[in-house]
Amino acid sequence: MSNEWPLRSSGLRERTATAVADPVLRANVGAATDRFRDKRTSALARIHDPDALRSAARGMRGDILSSWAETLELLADNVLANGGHVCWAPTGDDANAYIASVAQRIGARTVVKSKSMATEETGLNEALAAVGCDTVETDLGEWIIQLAEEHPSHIIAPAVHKNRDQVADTFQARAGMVERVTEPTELVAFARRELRRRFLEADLGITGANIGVAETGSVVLVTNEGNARMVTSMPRVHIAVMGAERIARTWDQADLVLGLLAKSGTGQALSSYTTVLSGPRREGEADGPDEFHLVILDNGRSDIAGTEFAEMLNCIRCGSCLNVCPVYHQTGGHAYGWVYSGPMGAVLTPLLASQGGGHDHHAGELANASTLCGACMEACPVEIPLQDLLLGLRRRNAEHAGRAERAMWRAWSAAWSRPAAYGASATLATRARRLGPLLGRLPGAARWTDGRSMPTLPERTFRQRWDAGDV
Amino acid sequence: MSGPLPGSADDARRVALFVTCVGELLDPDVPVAAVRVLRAAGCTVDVPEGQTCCGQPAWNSGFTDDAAAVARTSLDALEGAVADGADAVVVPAGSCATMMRVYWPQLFALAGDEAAADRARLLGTRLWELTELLDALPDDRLPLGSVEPCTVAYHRSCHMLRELHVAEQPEALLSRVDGCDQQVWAAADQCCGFGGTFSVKLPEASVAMADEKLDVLPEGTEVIVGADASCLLQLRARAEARGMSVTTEHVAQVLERALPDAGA
Amino acid sequence: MAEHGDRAAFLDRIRSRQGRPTGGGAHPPPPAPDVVPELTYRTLDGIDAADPDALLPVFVAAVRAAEATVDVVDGDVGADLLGRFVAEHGIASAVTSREAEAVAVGTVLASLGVAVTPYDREAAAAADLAVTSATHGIAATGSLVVDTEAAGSRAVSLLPRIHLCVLPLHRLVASHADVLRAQRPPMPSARVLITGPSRTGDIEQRLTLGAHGPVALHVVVTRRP
Repeated sequence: MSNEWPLRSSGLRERTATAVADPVLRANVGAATDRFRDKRTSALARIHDPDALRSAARGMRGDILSSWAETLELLADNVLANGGHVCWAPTGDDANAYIASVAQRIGARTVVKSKSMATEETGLNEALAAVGCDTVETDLGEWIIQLAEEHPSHIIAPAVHKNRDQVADTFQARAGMVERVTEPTELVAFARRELRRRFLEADLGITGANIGVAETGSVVLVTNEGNARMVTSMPRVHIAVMGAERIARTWDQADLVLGLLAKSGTGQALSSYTTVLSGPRREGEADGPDEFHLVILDNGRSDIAGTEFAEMLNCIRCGSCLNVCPVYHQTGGHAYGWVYSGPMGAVLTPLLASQGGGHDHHAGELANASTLCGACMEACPVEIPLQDLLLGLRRRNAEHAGRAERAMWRAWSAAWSRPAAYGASATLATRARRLGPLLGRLPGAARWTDGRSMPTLPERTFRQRWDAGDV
Repeated sequence: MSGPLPGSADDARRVALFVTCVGELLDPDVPVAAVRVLRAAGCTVDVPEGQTCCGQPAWNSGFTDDAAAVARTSLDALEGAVADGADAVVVPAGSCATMMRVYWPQLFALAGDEAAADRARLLGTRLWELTELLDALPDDRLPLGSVEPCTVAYHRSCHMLRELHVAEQPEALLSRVDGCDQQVWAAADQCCGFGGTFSVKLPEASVAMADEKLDVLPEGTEVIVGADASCLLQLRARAEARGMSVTTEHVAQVLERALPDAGA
Repeated sequence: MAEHGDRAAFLDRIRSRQGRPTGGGAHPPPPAPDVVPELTYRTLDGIDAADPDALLPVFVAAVRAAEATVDVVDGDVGADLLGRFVAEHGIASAVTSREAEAVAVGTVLASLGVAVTPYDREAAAAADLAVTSATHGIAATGSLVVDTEAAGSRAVSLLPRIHLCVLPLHRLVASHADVLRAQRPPMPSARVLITGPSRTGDIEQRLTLGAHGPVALHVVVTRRP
């Protein structure tokens, strides 16, 4: 993982508190997620029985990954048959090294990228900078973030935390905007002009991959802006970086995923552009890259297979769990500290961070960024039981918990698994009620009392009243 | 998805109440109200000795074995009550009912106690969340009268809504109470921000979540009603700190006040 | 074409990991469906999917819902319609795809004084208008399917300021499933399902058209008498 991310240099509480204290961020994230959530609801209302489809999609994703290796093999063979190159990248460094070597071979100076979570994960931009490439993010939100040297706060709307004035500031300071404009249409027009120039001069285009479809060796890219189409049409070479799990065996399977993807994410029937790419430019075609490369990235994914967390590999990166999560709603994506945010990030980040079997306290802590309210599973187009996975991560954290925390739960368990001790502890609590005001001053009590009143304890427990015949 | 479903409601004559730890320690008025309402519905109510907590605090924190030891204590007590003739186990808290019906089998299995997992599955077939049972009874089993006129907004707690799929029942019961004026709360099914230890692990986010609900509380709401005392604790504590005049009440307490002889 | 990295090791690692037993959660997955179900759109209820005339109103509504515009004409796209279009959008230059329908429109546009050239990158990047046809129109979503084999380029429908697409009525199908699921090798090097103009909501969620691609998309459905 790249060191620039705040995951390891700060704590989850510190990051959430910072986010909650930022009124611009909260207003923007809140408005955006509300809007996505409402549009999702309307989009799904336009098809019959979306819940049955989500359930079928869950079973189908499981089926695809039950023959994961075979499907990847078929995909790779068909990409090669289509005239493409295939790179097997066990780690992010392997992927970066391969891409950098292609860039050097073709003498690439300008690299244009369309939004790709996988390359955020590998820190590709730094690797390309190291070999002298000027890498430009071309999704508008990603470009704003790149210019501002910040991190994405939403999987499908990376600059959602910034308002128009902040965007204009960034364009003036970092993109040479001379005459300040603040209307979104004018800001978009400025970006279009600047980035159009970069598309036309670029030597190398890099994208992610929404789905790799094995039966035809195709890669599907979904965008609204059209930047992925630019990136895969203008430069001489196109490299698609695909998380190894983002596959379908057949077009029937890919069709179901694509049918649910945009509806779940932005609430569109389909995104503006669903592009199916099957190899480099052919004889007689007027544009398109001379070379197509598919980089298949593991980077910790295979370690998730065969564990209780395997269903996380079903994720199609739509962002719907972010939009319905009441915690994300308050904090936005930066609180999660790394590439992925919201419930899917709270699960995926600890899993990817622990590749090789180690335990990462900083990443593991993300499992606490949830009230286990279950809204995420309810919204997920492939019904990932995110609350179950979060619970599983908490169990894993508990195995690495400190002595004090273990002792506390053991003492609790010892008392409350004995009815007599349980009754005594309840009675003791009622005796402590007179100490109420003092309890609020105990160390740690501020975690409750800053912003909330202390509850008053009752005079008698339920059992005391029951035994006294007062019920 | 909600685990085994309870059998017929009308067969529930002898019921065993699971008090819950929050009911025992913090809010005994809630289980007291539940007992009185169940009695008014023609049930004989037993409160089995030996029950403690469902184990949820430790389970949600990842401490499986500690949770299982506590849960097993309550499983033993409730199973004993069923063996002694109870037709149903009733839980006046959506979150605890979810823990017991949906998560207990997995909890015991992970703790290596497959026998307890099977026993929990069987108990789950007789386990009801309070309003789930009351609403399933024929209306004439539970005569509901009127309360002093009050304006209420109902909070749908997460586990009950999304795991137990008990959604409409509490509001359907409240609508049978004269004088109980239910408002439409746009944030009714939004999480209150409690989440057990979440409330103290990430307190700033927790408070912000409560605020978001309270910010859109319908004008004139006097009482926030819910079916989970822990959610109500969170909302009350935040509302008080904000100086709001709204109070909270468990749905069982509203129903208790509406019992025909309640005011007599 | 070439392969890089160690395929066998990569796949062996996946196979070895999958051998491990998985734990059962509280929400176990359903079995895989025998047949992958299709999305069924409510707008198609009661409509004969094999009848393009029946699909047409559904398509028109979906195109408009995607912030595009649409005309339906009998016969060829005439000089009247194109004359109005050129005037309304201030079109001085156009590039065409190599599809016959697009070339025919290009000829009419040239007669109206528009500078029309076949696609090339620089011309397209500077042009006001792109003219293409489509291999399919998708009624449920209002999408157009444009592929490189037919159009001759990937970016002809992308670079100009406005995209005009001529769609013969008989190419209408009900749903994306009819296009995507029917794909078999050999595939075109690129195929795109276009649903409305290029757009972004990245600044304050404000829908802004023409992010990188066309700011407007106009569809002309042509009916044969």
